[in-house]
Amino acid sequence: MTRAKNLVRWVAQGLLSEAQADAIEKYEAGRTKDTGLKVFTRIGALAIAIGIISLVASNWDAIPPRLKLSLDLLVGISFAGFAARQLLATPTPTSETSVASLSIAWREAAIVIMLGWTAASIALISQVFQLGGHAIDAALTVLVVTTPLALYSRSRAFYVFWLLAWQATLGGELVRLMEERLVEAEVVLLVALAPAVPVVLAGLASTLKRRHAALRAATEWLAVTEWLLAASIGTLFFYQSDSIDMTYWSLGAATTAASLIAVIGWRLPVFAGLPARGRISVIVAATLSWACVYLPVAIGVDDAGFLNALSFCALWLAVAWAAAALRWRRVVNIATHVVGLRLVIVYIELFADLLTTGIGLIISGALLLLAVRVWMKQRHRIGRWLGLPDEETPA
Amino acid sequence: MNVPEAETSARMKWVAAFIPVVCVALLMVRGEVRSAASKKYLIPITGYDPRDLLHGQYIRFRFKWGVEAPTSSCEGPRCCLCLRGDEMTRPEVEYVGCEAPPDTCGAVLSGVEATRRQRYLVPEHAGHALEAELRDRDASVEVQCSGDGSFALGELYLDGQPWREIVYPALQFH
Repeated sequence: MTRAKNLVRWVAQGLLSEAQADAIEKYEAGRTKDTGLKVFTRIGALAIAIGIISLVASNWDAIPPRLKLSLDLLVGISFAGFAARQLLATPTPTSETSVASLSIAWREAAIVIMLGWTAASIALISQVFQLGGHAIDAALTVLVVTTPLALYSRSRAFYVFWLLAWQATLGGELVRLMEERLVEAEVVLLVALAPAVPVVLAGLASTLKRRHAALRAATEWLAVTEWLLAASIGTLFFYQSDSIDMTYWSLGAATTAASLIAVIGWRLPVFAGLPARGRISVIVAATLSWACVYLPVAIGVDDAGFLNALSFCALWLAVAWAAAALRWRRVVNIATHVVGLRLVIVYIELFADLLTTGIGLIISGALLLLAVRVWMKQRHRIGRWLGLPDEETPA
Repeated sequence: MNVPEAETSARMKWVAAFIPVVCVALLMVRGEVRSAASKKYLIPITGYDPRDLLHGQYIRFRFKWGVEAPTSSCEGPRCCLCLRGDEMTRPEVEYVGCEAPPDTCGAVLSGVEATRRQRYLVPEHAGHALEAELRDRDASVEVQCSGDGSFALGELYLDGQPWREIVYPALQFH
């Protein structure tokens, strides 16, 4: 419906001819014709994968262990054959769009089924031989042996979950191996180094080639999300801050700062098209986010809700500025919504009674309307000052 | 947006698809080889928490090694258990240093691993019946000892019989 309304509006404005609008409508209808089938394909694959795991978990005792293992291998061989055939069935440039996208959906389904089968098989081996191993070791084995296959996926959503699984597994292994050997200060170092992980991920993503566009997009999305999450959580330490070993915390902070500088310096050529102030916006956002991760703990100020609100809003305004410069519209919208939500929470925190809350809301509402009016009148000048691309000056 | 795929050989795709199968097959073979090559002893067990033997799909227990706490000659991870005796019998056990265990040891196990809480995976439908039998009978587990100090669990015995021979007939009457 939205697309149809947009097309009518664009035709009315003379941006498109009616023939062009019809062609667009026909193309999109063909592309999304089999969306339902693709959804069912994915659900079916997931159901098979979970069903296999559930079957193994029930530890079905009706057949002898060696027969179980043999049957499992036979099932695995047939699944692998199916997966290989789907990988080989690359859509041709002349195939219909819907056929091509269904073919890709089958490929994704085959990859998910193989992942599920591998996990279930390792669990089965552990059951039959009563190995008593740790679940994290099993997860690591599954991820390692299925990585070559997983890299043939073209689904960004799949890669987001896959990368999260890698992070959780590697993190869990590290904690498990170290927990009995680390002193408290070294634990602080590990926590301080954790925010560097998304920064490194973002750097690695920039090296990925075009054929791994989905993996690159997923890595970048995950890296930015985790980094901003770490920065937002960091501001919470203005509410309560425990004393920690600053030597190790500073080491983690310095390492993350160096990683951030390396990644931005590495990717600066990408921002070559930005005006100078646009590049500044990226540097400001990066610096402010790093400060939000590390300084609240370092400063050690407790019970300072206003510092939390101030730093949180400053962080997300800087993110909105940088996102506008980079033409990440969705991030601009998210950032401004987040700032708005935090301001609402400020009212709840600060104003105890209805009278002061009411006065505060009226004043701030009036200020917001004034800001919008100023922006409407001066947006081009303000946009140029902020270093935003001309055609992208937000309305 | 569908990005056109770069040329990748068909062979690599077959390899990628079959690597998990090959690895799983190797793990199965490794399990069989270890089991065949290991030295086996029967060790009595006791519930880790008598009120909660059954935990999900496994029972929790600890071994009754029947050995005094390690002397000052070895501590923590450097302490190993030396098992002596015939296979498939209850062995004599003593603590020894892991670096230089006596040659008379039939098997040497990591002390930390052997004294830790253990898990025995059980079929879903037999868990409660098995838990009840464990409270009333003497239980022991076949321990398959490898040369590297690790071990795997074999059959679970109740009063000297494989547990299925006792639990499953009881299940059929219910």
